[in-house]
Amino acid sequence: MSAIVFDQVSKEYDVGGKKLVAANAVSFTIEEGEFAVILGPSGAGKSTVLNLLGGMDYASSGRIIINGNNITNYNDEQLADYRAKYIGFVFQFYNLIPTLTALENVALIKDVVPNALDAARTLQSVGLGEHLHKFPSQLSGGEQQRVSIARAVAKNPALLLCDEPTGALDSATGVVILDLLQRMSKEQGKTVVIVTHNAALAQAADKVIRLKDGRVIDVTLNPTPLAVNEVNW
Amino acid sequence: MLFRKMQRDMRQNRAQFISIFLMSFLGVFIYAGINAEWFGLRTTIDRYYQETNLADVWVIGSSFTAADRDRLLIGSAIADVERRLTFDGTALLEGNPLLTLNFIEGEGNRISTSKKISGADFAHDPDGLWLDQNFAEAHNLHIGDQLQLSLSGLIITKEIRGLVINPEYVYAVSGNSDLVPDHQQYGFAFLSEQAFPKMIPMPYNQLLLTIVAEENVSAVEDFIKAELGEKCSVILTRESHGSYQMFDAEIEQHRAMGSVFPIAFLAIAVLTILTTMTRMVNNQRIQIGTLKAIGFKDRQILFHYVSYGLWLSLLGAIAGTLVGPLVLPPIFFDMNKSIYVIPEWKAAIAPSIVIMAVVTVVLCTLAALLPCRAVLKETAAQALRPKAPRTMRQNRMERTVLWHRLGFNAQWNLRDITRHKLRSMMALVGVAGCTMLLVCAFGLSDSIVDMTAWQYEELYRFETKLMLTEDITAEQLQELVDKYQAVPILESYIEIMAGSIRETGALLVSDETELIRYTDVNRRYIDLPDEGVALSYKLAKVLGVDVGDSISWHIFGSDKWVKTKVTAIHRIPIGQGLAMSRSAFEKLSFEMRPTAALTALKVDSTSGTITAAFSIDALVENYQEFTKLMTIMTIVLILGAVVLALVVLYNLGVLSFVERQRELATLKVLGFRTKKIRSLLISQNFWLTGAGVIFGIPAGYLLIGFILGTLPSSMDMMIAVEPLTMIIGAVGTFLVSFLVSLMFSKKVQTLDMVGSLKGVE
Repeated sequence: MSAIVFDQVSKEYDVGGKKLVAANAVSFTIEEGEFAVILGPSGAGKSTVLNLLGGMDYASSGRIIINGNNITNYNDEQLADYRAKYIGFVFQFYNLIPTLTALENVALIKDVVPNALDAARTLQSVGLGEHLHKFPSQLSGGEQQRVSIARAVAKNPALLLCDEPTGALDSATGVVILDLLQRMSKEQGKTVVIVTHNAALAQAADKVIRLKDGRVIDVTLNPTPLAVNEVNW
Repeated sequence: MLFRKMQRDMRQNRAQFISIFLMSFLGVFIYAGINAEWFGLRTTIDRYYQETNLADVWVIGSSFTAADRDRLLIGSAIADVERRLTFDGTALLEGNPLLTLNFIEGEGNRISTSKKISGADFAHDPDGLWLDQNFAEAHNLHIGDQLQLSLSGLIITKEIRGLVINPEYVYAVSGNSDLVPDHQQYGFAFLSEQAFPKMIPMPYNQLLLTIVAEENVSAVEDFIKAELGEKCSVILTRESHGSYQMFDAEIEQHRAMGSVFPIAFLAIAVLTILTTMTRMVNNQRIQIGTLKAIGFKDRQILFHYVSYGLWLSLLGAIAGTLVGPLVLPPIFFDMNKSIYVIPEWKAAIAPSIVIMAVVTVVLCTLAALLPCRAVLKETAAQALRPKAPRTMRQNRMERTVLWHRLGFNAQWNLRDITRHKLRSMMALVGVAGCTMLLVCAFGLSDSIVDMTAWQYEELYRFETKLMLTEDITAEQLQELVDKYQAVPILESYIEIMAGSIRETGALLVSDETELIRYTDVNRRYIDLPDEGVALSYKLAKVLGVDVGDSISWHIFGSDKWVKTKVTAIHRIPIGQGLAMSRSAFEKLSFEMRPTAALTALKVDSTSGTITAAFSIDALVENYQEFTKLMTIMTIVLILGAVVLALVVLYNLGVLSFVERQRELATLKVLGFRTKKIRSLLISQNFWLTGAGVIFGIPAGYLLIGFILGTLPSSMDMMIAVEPLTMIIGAVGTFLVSFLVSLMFSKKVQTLDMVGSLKGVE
């Protein structure tokens, strides 16, 4: 059984009286432990797919099945539970709470899932052991993104969802972040889904799902993915 | 962790969160302070009246016999009856002060008993006297001293056995124009009937009654009238008893004050929280979205944001409840101590204070809840995106020709105001509130000054008022009249009845003279009619009568009721009642027995026939003592106004500056001079302040009207707001407003363009 099943999922928005189809009968599967990349130019519907996958928005039609659970008809409360239990988010702009330190941002997870991983150890695992008590504004972009990853991982989620995780970073820092995510998948067996417009990343992925104008145009399996630092950026 | 986030958020937005705390604190502080004051007075006085068993009904007449007393006792509604002889004597002390003497029948005093401050208990004692403690203090008399009294010429000597206070003398003044008690000039004493000179038969002139609980007083009155008939001239209930009525009215006045002002502060507190929270929540949209995405439940997030309002207002409310009753009551007590005599001055926490504190907290919490709910309704995905710019359409105003003629400054500001309605409304309310309080404060003091001028310059035009002895002969009077070119007048107390309404009031009979004049409802001079009576405006309203109606009245101490036509309404600030010309008075076959004489000369000596001489200045001074309460209130109002305006405007300043930071940075990038941008901000503030002032001035009038409405029924005041007051109100408000806007417009200079225009977070 696949970890993620998207079955004819559509999402329509009502913008000023006009219908805007952001996702049009999108179907794909992602297996457990896969390092998957959803690829597409801006406006292709990547964020829509990510939002639906993350339980942050409702589909207009179709089914979304995560680990055998159909989340399509979940209510707000159930979705919050789903997000809390299964999903670790990594955002493009990190979205850390500016008034909390790095450690506190990660420890925040304890309020959501009682059996969260130890915040300090998780931060050490992403290489931030020395910056535990710094506020986000005192950290560089790459460091902030690593806090964000630590926060996502601390839940010990089945699925790591990353929205343009390197979008706001310089390429060298981006490589460090992607390497971290790839290792999460390879060493800890986590399912990692990265949404990006950066086609180069396809070489490092187990599976590449290409989107255009709200449709899936291609799904490729990559039997021999490169390590992130071998990819030619 | 979220608690820590709250602490840090609060520290970052210090000013606004302090203002939330301050507003809820101030609202509850003032409410709790004033209410603890009147509630304390109410509790003390109720206990005092109960402990001393204050009479429910006083029957005043002549020569009540034991049989009369027993006849009343049969009445099922009447619990107890006590006979008493009460009349005024003179103490042979410096200044010949008046002393009301009460001779109590029987073994002990059961009704309206005195509260002993020192000395022996009241007893059946032929030689002892229990003296007014304040009078004793004023004359430096002690227990064991001998006191000589003159009872209509008869001299008796008694030993002071105890110093007391009495519930019938909470507010005890002698003359007609005295408002503030003078313990030097007037006091009271209680004696046993045995202390009364034996040669005279005991002419009891008062019956004191207590009524069985839950019985109707008016039914008892009817019963007394039926039983005693002609013998009783006046029946007083507590409501018509001078001392009881006065203190009761005082408490009610404080209570009314205590309920109005806090409402204003509470309203502002809620508005402040609402705007602060709206801004906070909007700024933290992404954070809320993130928390949602991480898996926080709506409930948890809601609780987190609501707790900003909850903790702060809770803290403010608790501090206000604790501090208010400690700080405010003593200030009010100090002023009242010179007027009223009660056993203790103690504040008490009224149950309504706790209710008010809870209401404050609930409202503030709700104010925090609303904007947060709106964001939470969105899905996590929506909340994570920056808020879509609000759909802006040209409104009708912007399509007119006039609009295009307006400069950029006006266009920008008009748009800004109409598109941030809540913020603009709040600025308006805050400014209007500030103007209202300022106009009210200065207007009140104007009205007091105006009332003083009205009473003591326009109506009373004499220089000295000579109080005459009761037994002055016609020759002696003529002598005085010749010596001082004096005009004799008669002042007394009366009871008036119109329909079923009974009121007590003052009677003033005078010749036509330049020394005392009368004014009509609109304060134009009138002459007293030759026939019938002139009824004072405020009393006429209470009685519901007008010119042409008839009223019945009688002088206290006499049982002669007369029915007369009201032939004029006259308006007077102090001393509501009847005024008559001498001829009209004599037409009713009364004998004119002057109690005082007015003169334009300065007289400061007293002689055989003059018991006291009051200069007009002394009367004004006495009156001003009475208006001290209003003076203090004025100061409280001014302080309140300034705090209110500062807090509201500062808060709005922070809000609008932060909200418009992007916009202002854009203008700056476009090359607008700092000066130009500053003038944008200042002119908007100017317009809002102007509009607020326009609303505030009439609101100030209304507030003065409300406060004057709480005056005791014996006082009548006109709203007199000087133009200067309105100018002060307006200019004061503008000053505060400019101060604040200057502070914020300064920040434009240091506005970081790059930082403000950067991405989402």
